[in-house]
Amino acid sequence: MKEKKFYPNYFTYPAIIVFTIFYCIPIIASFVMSFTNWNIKRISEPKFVAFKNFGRLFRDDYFLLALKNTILFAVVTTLGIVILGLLLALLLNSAIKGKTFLRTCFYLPAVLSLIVVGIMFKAVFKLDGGILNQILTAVGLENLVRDWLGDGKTAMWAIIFVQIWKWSGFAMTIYLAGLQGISKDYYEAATIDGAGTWQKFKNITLPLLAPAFTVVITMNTIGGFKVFEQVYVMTNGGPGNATQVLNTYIYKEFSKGTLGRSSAASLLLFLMISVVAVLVNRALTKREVEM
Amino acid sequence: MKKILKPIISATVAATMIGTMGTVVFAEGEADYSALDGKTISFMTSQSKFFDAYQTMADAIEKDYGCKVEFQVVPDDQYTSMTNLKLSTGEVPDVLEQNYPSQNVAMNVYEYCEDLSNEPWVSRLVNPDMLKDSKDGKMYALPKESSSGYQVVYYNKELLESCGITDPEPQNYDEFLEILKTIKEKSDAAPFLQTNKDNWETQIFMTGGIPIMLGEKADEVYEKLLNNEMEWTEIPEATEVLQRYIDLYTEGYVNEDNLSVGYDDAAQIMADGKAAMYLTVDQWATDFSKNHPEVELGSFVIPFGDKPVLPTGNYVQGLFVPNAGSQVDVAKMFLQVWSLPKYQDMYYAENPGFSAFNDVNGGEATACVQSIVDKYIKTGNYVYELNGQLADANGCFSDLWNFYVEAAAGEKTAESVWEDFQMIYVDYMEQQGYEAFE
Repeated sequence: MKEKKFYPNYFTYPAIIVFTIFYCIPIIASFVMSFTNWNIKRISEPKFVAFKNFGRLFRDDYFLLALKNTILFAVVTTLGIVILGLLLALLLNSAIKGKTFLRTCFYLPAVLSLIVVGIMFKAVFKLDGGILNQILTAVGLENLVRDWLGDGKTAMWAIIFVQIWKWSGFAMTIYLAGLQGISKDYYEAATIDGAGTWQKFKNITLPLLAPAFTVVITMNTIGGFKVFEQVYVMTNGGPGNATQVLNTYIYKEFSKGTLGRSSAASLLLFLMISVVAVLVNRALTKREVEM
Repeated sequence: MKKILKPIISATVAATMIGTMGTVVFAEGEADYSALDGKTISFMTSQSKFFDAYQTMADAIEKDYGCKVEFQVVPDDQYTSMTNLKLSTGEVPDVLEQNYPSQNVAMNVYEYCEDLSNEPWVSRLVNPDMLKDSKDGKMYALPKESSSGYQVVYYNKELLESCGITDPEPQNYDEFLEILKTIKEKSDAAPFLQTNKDNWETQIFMTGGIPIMLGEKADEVYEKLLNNEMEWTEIPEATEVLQRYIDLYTEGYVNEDNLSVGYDDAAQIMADGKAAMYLTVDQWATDFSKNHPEVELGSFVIPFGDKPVLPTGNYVQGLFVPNAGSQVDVAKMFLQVWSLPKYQDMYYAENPGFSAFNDVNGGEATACVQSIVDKYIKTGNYVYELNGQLADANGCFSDLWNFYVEAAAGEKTAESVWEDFQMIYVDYMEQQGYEAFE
């Protein structure tokens, strides 16, 4: 029997054209340009330089610092969001008062603009009159008062904190959806068998939440590697280069007019994100169990 | 034959006369700016370059010619990157403001901006020769001032007087340090305000100090650097100036939050008396005096050498017309209108200074700025800053400025700044295709 087609193929053509023009072509162009010395002064006459741009990037201490910061950011924020999001979900999946209101509160940061959040937290972390320092002073912890965004040792952690604050609520909603999809029968059966709370969590909740973990971890890992706005608004890669991440490095190089070099860095970031996303997704999908 | 020629000649002469009269009448009357009617000019500038008077001028132009101006005000720390990015991608505003002509090379105006040499306003400039591009002699921007960028310490007079310091005029660097020491001992204010969140502010100490310390050999050093015959690590004067800068931090003369406050925060910090002095450019002092008339500012030059010499930028604020703009001719016409005395006077009524045009009333400049002009500019006792002399390398200077910030944070020594920058400099110049570096 001939399969019935609901829509003709040409319905997809506009999407394919848009995708090709705005996504595929720029990526291919960037890929090609990363092997050239294309720059703002040689905009129309780039020369092929093979792997020179890539070699130079790996000899550049500031690229390596940006790479290290990006990996640190991606790993720590993903861990933070996964754990905090899960704790919030478990808390708000139980029978507590005002949970709908609390869910809304925790989810709210996810809908705020990153720029707004960045500006807001600049006020929180200010040395002089910043909310955090005022709280520390009020509770007698003056020795912890510092210029959070102006100190190279704390600036990156401050940005990491903001990312976790912003996205934990979003992770919470994904976990909540997962938790509400787990049948109560499993827990009742486990209770009859004498399982404790921890055993039920370990043997029922965690395995059945695996699809939610896959989504949260994959999304946040990718988001972590792509970090730009928060750093740009809060520190612009500073103080000095202390919070430089790959995207701010690329932006800086691009602004200097070294377009070939920045294309090479973009390509590396693209490859890195692709490889990590595929590996993480594959590893996590294998652990998922059917409900 | 005569009968035929006579009327032809008469008609030709008459037509020529009428035509000539018409031309004269048109030249003497107001030019035709009707093409501006109904247009909107996108005008990109930065926070520190934008003045409220711009809006006043724009409103008047809209009223007179029906042309709206849409200002795009970009934060300072993003501005240079943003302009270069926009120019290189062709996503440009109709008009953009930038340091001129010192940013010409970094912006690659030769490829991306309109040549404005033949615009009518050029004939009204006070000093057109200084403003022409040093490479091709063309005019690429409509200037605002005749000169600017005096790198001077502006201090809170009352605060210094409370420390027993009246009208300071340090004659050498030790005297300057003595002033800082006294302020530190006798007040709670930070003696020397630095706003390193904007690294262009950080670099002022070095871009002014290094040429003064180099003295007469400055030109030779610049030439050798540009020809790759000398390394930055081989300039002891540069290391010394940077070391002096680092010492200001180690001696505790600089505000603690220097790494997280920017140029925009400086006025409030100074007005609140939390800092005693600020090394910056004259535009800041003019703006501060207007917004905080209750605080009287004084000014002096940091004497890097054996006598005070003013470091100044060889640039003014200029309005460029990117050639990728969607209405280049309209933008050029807009610049002509913008330059007219009627509108320029509006700017200088609010921000007295030194107009680029000989028919504009610059008004009475802020006292602390005027005194610098009288003492140093009029007497020729000034040197041009490092940045302008090495315009070809300006594109990589933002990295150097970041290194300065790292040095201020105690993460780099003066020597390591120049070692690290040397690598970036050579790489950048090679990328730009300079033969000596390839």
